[in-house]
Amino acid sequence: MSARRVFSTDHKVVGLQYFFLALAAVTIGIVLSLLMRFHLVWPAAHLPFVRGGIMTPEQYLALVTMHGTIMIFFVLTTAPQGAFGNYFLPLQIGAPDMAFPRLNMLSFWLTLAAFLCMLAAFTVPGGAPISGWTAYPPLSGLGEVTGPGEGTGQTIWIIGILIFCVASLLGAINFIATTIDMRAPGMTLMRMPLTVWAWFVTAILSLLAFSVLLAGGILLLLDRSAGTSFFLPAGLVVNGELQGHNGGSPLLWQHLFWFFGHPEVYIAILPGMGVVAHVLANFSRKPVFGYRVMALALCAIGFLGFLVWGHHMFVSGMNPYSGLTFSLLTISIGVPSAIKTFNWLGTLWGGKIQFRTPMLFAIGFVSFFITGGLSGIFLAQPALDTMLHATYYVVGHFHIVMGVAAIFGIFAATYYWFPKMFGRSMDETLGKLHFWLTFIGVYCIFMPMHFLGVAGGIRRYADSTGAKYLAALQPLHEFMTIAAFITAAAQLIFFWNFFRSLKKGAPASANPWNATTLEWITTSPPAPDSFGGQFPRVYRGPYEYSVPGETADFLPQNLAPKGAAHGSGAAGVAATVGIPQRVYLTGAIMLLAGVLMFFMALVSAEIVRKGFSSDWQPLDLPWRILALSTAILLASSFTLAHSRNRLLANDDAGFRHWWGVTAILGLFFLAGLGISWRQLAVAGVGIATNPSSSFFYVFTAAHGIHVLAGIAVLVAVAFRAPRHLTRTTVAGVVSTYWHAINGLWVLLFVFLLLAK
Amino acid sequence: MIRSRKQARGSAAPAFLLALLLTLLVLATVYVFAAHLFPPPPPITSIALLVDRQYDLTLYVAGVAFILAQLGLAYAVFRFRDRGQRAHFTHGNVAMEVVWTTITLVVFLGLAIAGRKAWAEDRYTAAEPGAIQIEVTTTQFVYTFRYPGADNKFGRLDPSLVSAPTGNPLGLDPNDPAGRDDIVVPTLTVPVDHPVELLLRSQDVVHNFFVRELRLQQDSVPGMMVPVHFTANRIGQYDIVCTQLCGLGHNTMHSFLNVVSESGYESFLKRQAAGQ
Ligand code: HEM
Ligand SMILES: [Cu+2]
Ligand SMILES: [Cu+2]
Repeated sequence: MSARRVFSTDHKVVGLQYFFLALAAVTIGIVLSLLMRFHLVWPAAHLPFVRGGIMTPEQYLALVTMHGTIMIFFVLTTAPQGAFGNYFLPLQIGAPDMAFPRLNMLSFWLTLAAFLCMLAAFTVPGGAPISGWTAYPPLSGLGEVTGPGEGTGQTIWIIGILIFCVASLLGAINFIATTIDMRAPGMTLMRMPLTVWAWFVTAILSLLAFSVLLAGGILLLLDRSAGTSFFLPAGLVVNGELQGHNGGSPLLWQHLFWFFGHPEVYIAILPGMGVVAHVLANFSRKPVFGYRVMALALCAIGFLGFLVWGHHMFVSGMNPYSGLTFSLLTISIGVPSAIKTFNWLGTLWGGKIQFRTPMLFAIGFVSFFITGGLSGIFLAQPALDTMLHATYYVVGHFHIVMGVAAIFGIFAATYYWFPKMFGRSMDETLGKLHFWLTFIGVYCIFMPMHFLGVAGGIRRYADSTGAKYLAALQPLHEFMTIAAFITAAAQLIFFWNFFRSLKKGAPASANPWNATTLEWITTSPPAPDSFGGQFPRVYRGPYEYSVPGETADFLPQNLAPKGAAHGSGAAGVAATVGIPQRVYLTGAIMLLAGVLMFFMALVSAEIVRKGFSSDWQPLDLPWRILALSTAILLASSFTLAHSRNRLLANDDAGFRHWWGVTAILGLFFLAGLGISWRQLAVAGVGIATNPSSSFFYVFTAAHGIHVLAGIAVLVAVAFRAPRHLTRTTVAGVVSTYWHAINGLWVLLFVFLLLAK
Repeated sequence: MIRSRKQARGSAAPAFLLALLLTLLVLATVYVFAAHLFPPPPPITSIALLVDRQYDLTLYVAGVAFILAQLGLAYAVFRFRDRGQRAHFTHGNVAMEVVWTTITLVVFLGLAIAGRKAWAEDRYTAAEPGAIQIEVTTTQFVYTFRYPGADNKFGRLDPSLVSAPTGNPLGLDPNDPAGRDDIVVPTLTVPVDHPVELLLRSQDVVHNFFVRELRLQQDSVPGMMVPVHFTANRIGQYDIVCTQLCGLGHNTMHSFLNVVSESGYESFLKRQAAGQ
């Protein structure tokens, strides 16, 4: 493996890298869960990988935390989107690559870094954190006093999450720009495969959700390390020690976290929904039933997904009236979910169903989604949530609807696209065996969790000794543990089949499933440039199966209609395409949307924090220097506009001159911020002094970094014209960014004034 | 043609097996729920009873949907297995979409609105006047209950005075006369058929107060005072457990709710007052 292949910008290589990362992560995640399941039933047993042999409660909780984190972030977020999205989105829309290949590569390497960082938490003194994947402060916010793993382990965990956020944001920008700007001629929105729709909507969710988690994570890190009190109230006494925090709100974290957390569960499942519709149509030999409604329902789920986060907080101490609102909104999201189910059934109905392995997994997905969606209807009602919250019922719900359903989506995708990715086929018999065992096994593990939960079995308990009634439920635990071990063993069949087929599988043709979409018109595996230099033109919708009057029972998307003058016959070849210039502007706008979301999260945090506390003090800011800096920044917008005009007028010297002036004004602005920090520091106001100073430092630092990045780009462009962009494009993109960041500052400045 | 016939023959077995498994899934699930194999304990408040009714209603509605959908899936995969036929070509049906969307919307929203009552009675109303106020303090990993004593007033707390080893786990200020008669105990005792208001607070991290028989969970959040109320109608001892991950002893955090007779409650108070 040469370095060029490892550090590749080819979306197919990056996709495979994500895939193998997810495969490694899921292996670790499964081992962690088996350790937990074993401990729950045989608490005194000696276990491998466990320090000291016999598991302590804190080790159990570290496993809970790391299992959840690894599965949700590094498996369910990376495999469906990072792996399959990267590999197949460009192929399915007939694009040569992602819009920003190098950014794509960076996303992957950052994700890998985040993963290694996360794993490092196991190795530090105190071990991995014990606060769950939800990391509620104060447990997660005070350091070692609250428990083992809450020192360095928790810090590393937060840093890992922050890196992951950045990686996901960059990935999301790439996916959105690619979908918007890189579609082949004829590939209208309503001709995109539902997989593409799903990846597209997922990318939008990632962009808006991860920027909020990024903001929340930074605040939590500051609470831990800089002594601020965003989430930590006054008068905390932990382990007999009085803590020096003031006025923070633990619920603020929960709001920020779940504002991310609920969309995140859809980030995990939407790509699976796309794959399932795609595979169901393929192996029913029928068009997707209600294609438009399916695309619309994806959008509706994505949109509603941002309005329901409070259903995780019914019993958190949140206002009970908002509980009812969140309940109604949550129930409403059941409607597009039900629509999807109906349409999957409609796709099967009247079909000619071929039970190939991917199809079996897709059908399994539908069954799990039905089960998990319906248990959601219980949890969505606050009155019922008061008995079911934080019990195994919730664990059953989300494992079935998110964990297992998404994993079945991943399996369906793996079996389906394996021939395309590796040019060989997986073994059907082993694949089917893997399906049957997993389908039965998974229901045996997770159905009983619902029964356990209704009876009052509580999640995140290291053993059942706390209350007498828990011991009576132990037989359920035993059953589930045995089922878990059998199901895990069945995954060995998959691994065997997968790795053996890589080398020994029967060679696959270009289109082994007789499918319609564009990834199947190229060779298996595709050439490095995907379509061998001949880019497709699209003439029809994605699921033209069994069209009456046609002899073939499938019509590829690039098949020209009979008698069309266009194209050279069946292939419908279009001229080679490069990366269009407009992607850079789209990318910049998406980046700005993420940045805006990030700042909106901070602003809402300030509003909540201020409303919640009694320790809010108006801050005497160095207004004069701030006003001056603001004026300088505004002036830089004019100089940049002027510079761009000079460029359009072909006045290169003028362009360079004003371009440089802009960068210098930017530096002056940063200097102004620096001076204002210094004046505050001299007056004895630090970041932890009071909540308004904390927010002031966070706002200015966060904004300053964006200005600094803008200056860096200005300087870089001045010295070296980028390879793929024209000067005009660069000037346009940089101006958009610069003006938006300046506008953002003005808004922040007004906000600071108002908060005074 | 030969290939497709072979494929068609291969479809019968998986179609049958899949349909069979889905049917078994439905039967097993319906059996466990209908036979009440793992029931929650009987409710001991009128609100808990409302919760149970709403649970049953939801179980019926979701149960019917579950049976129809899973069996529909089973039927579809069996009925439309590849037997060499040509698939029916259709892009969908707007009328059907409208019908099933409307039905789901009405049924789901209807459920949520029906469930509003139990929630509203539980959480929208303040405790009845005359309710006994008891403060619940959670700490890693114990519950501490405080009764205001004869003066019906809670004494002032000062976090800097907290010292469990010296017998002041709550940090009661000795200079506040209101606190002199406060009763501080590790279990919760309440009289039967008498409204009770709990004031939940936490000293360190977020914990939870869960009694299955009350069908009541509530987080206790540091920096907040969250009130909940109930009127227990059956004498007995019930488990209080913590459901919010609070640290390494989370699974051991436990106490009892003792619902006692009116006279039993009086003597409990007397005993405690004498012991102060
Ligand atoms: C009809 C649709 C759904 C409804 C009404 C619903 C409702 C709920 C509610 C109310 C909760 C909070 C329960 C509690 O903590 O007390 C919850 C938890 C959860 N749901 Fe769903 N849900 C639905 C679908 C989904 C889907 C599609 C996914 C993922 C793909 C999902 C993943 C989760 C997860 C991960 C949790 C638990 C998070 C945690 O506490 O760690 N849900 N769901
Ligand atoms: Cu949610
Ligand atoms: Cu706890």
